[in-house]
Amino acid sequence: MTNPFESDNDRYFVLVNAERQHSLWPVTAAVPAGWSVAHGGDTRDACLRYVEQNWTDLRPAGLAAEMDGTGTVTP
Amino acid sequence: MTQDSPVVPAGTLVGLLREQAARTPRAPAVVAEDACLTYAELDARTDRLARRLRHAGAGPERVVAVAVPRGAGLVVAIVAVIKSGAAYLPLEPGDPPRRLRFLLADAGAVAAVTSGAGDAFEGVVTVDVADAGAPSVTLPEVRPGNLAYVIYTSGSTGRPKGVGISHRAIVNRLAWMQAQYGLRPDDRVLQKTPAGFDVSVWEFFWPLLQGATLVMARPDGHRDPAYLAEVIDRERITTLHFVPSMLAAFLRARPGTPLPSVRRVLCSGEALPAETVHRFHQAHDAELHNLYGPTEAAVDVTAWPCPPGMPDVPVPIGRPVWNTGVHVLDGALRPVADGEVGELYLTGVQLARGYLGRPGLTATRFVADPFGAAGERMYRTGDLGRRRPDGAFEYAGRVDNQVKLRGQRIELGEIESALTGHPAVEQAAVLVRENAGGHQHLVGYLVAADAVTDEAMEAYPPVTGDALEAYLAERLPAHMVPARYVTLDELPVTANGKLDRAALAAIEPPRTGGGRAARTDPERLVCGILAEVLALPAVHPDDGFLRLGGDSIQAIDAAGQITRAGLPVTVRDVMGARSVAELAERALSRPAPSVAAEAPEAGRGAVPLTPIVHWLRERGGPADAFCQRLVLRIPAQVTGEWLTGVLRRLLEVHDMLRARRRITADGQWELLVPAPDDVDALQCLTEVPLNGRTGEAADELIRAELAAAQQRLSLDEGRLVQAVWFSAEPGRQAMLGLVVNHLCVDGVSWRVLLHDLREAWQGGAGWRPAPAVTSFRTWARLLNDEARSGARPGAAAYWSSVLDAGRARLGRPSDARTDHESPDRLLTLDLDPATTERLVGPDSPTVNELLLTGLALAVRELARRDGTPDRPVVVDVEGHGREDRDGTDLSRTVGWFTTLFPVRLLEAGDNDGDDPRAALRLVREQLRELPDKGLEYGLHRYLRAPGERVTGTEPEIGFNYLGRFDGGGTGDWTIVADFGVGLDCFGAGMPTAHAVEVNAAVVDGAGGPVLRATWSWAAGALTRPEVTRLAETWFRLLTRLADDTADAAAAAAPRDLTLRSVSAAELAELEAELNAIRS
Repeated sequence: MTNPFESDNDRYFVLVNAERQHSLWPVTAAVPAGWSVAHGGDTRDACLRYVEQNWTDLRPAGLAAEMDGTGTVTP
Repeated sequence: MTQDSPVVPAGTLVGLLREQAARTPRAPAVVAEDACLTYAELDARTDRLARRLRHAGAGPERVVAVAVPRGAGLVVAIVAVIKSGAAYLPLEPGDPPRRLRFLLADAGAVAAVTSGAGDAFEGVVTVDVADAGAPSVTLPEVRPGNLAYVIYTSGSTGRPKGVGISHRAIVNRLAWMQAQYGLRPDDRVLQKTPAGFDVSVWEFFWPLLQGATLVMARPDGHRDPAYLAEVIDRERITTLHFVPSMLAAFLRARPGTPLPSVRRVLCSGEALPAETVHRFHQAHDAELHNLYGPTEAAVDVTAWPCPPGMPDVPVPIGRPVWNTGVHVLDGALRPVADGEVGELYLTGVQLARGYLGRPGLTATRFVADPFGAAGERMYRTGDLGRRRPDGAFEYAGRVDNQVKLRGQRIELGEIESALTGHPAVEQAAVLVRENAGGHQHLVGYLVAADAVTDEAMEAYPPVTGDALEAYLAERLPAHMVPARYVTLDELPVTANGKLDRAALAAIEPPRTGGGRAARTDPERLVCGILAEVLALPAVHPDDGFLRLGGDSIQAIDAAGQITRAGLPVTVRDVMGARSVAELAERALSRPAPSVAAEAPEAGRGAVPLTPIVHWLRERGGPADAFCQRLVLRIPAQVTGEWLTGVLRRLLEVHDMLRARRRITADGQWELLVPAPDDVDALQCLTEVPLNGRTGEAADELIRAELAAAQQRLSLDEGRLVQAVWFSAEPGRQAMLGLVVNHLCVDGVSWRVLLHDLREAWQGGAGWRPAPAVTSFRTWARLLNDEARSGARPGAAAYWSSVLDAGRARLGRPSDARTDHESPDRLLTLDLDPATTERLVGPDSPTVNELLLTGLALAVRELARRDGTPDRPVVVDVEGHGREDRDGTDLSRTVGWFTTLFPVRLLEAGDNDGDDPRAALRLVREQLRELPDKGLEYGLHRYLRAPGERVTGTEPEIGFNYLGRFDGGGTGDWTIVADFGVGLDCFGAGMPTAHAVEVNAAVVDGAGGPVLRATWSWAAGALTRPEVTRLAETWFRLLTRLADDTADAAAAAAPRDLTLRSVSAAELAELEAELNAIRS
């Protein structure tokens, strides 16, 4: 069984949700609710480059807002 | 598919820990060998340390490493990091410093809690766990979304990846666990999982959130069934975790000993066999549960109760825990029908936030969930599974190259990447190879770099297996370092250019050439016996014993067998004959053997102690578990009845297997061999069905069973032999583990026993083993008589002078009171096949001489480098001890004949000893001048009248060459080399005999012969890096010696010998010697 996320030949989207979490996603599958396309369709490599460049704070957005808002330690 | 769950539990570990401490301040929280803490004490200590850490920069979304050995301090460190607001990163203090540094840097740790800091922690603030200073800082607020811990798992691209788990995730997991299993304040949970594995997370926190007691097993105690049973009983443990194979081994090691305190056992980590469930309930009145989950989802995501009489086969991994879902999807992300296999995807609150600092990787593994609430993620596990119609899930294997070896998750890509990091390696692939017995080990396949720069050569001399192993040992945890290496011109690829792993797995070098068929009966007989002794598929009349790779120990065995078959030959004949045909000729021209077999009674009764038994007694410590062991492949058709019968006959014929020891009132030992009247062979045999287990599951089981068998040995009860029959269904490989106390066995004895077992299988019901010609008892009496009847003039002075040499030293002296043997202090390195071939090849001088020369040069080089003045190099050498005495024939005698004697290998003034060839000549002289091949030393040291004994300080360096073994066989009755060949095994608390010791054997494997060196050392004397340096220096010098001697011996032409110090006379001598070996 080939995994739909591991093919170098297929095209992918980069999806983003409200927590600003990113997901690789095969263009052949329907985009799930609560996610929007941030990049692509593109090659797997290009999608991953996009993720590396744009998802720089791995904290969920809600947590980041809470923490930064109250002025506690910021990473 | 999400189970009906309560709302996600609120809170963080910090708050829950504090609340519990306030509820039960005086209750025992932590019990460890080094300290016990109440909840109030734990709370106070961890508050202080947390403030210290906060002062050092710890806080929410920061990482603090914990590198503390298991004990009360480990709990204090972990809880303190949690309270500081940071996520804890567990590190194994014994891992390679390079790996520790990588993990610290990759996780961006701001501080590390240690107990005595090491070099690896340069660059981060280290805080000692005992640090009592508490700066006045306030501890920060921690949110459920903040990270609680970071655990690293193997990564396929060569980088381990740090999984970050939030408080919310782990709090959900712990709350579900409490609702499910109901821990009470009087419960006592055993903490035995290494902190780097996530099972340990619930072991730590579940009891501490419920007012129960956390009992810390000693470091490494989780592998020792006897210790576990003892600690469970002593500490009245109610709750503990087992990896299933360890549970099975534990149950068999402790049959009929229920542990009444235990209320529940939780299993995870590998498939739980239904048979283990059954056996568990036979022995114990407790609950058993099977859990499943990856590190990426807060420990476990499914669970299944396994009550007595449970009908489910295979045992399901169960149903999802609270607020968790499991999807089984096909390659197009569609759910598969119930009962069909798909990949398991996990959803819910327990998912990790992702991989630390790896957004790309996180986005490929934690992906959008098309089935849940809007914006949810799912984690793709890489595990295969199916859903039963009743909603329970079953595990069905892996989708990728991730493997588990001995329960540990490994990505082969990580090892390959480390290998190609070596400047002399162009390409590398790593495979798990499984032999016919189902045993798995890692094998590295390499293509060497074409243009190796001089600098690279300087830094990493030869690209040999040992050099690579040492290189990898600095970069990877021990379980990820391949056992073997094969060098190839190129790696095989498939049509589309990808690595062809199947083709790689098929690479097995041929073992023998060919030749004419035997023409006469004697030739046929000798060919057959040599093939058996050397474990070769066939031997031809033109093959020579040495050229086939035979050694002196195998020669003893071969000579004995050929003689008993009616052709009288000596060991010298076997070693010296150029060919089988010549050996047969010699035998035919010789009269029948003159040594008459003894009467059976000669071997029975009181046996006087031999020098090596005295040595064992003086060494001190528990000798019951001091043993040698071997695992053989045996046919699946073997029955328990047959094995019992064969064991009975072996015990009847080989007297020493029945020996028992008595310790007298004044501490002396007495050995007695009873008559074989009522040999109880049943108590020697334990059946352990493999139940289809292969690979790491079988491996783990076998190791645990061998360890359990070792614990059953008893000198005083005369229980010296334990056989474990790993039975298998037809068509599968069964195995036989033999664990024998060293008191009655040695290398040659094993060959006798192996021969007997093979013969028994062919021999049918009427088979009886041939009795020994000379018994061990007769030999022991002979040695004692000899020692009392006078001595060679000058012998005592000679041996005293060897002992008293002001010798070169490595490290500090060991101390028998505190330095004990430990499996943690073993270093095994293989010399590459090409070099090994030259060392043991037909034209080389004896292997022993080369190995000792290399060792002497290595010791001298390192002693000099450390600035020690030039001193003699003295080494304790083991010999097989079966020396010539008129009227004796020990070729079929089972017993411990080993001799141990000091040899002064190099003198202080031997400056030409720096030249390998000259050194070889000097060492050879020393060895050849040894009186009576060293046997005499033991007589003078132990057996002479008390006032006449030789005394002095024994050498700090021990050396033993065990001979050559076949580790490449796959048929029945061959040795499974993975479980060791001829190495001594020790029980806990056995004092070390030397500061450092090397046991070397040549093992013929799939890639050719390798010299396998196993180093052990005293912790108080040397460090692992020091031993590694010695081991690498030794191999480097052996490589030089191999090159030199191959040249010299090829030799016959004097012009090849450009050596200054070799005179014509010496050259003649060398040639004569080679001829002596040959003829």
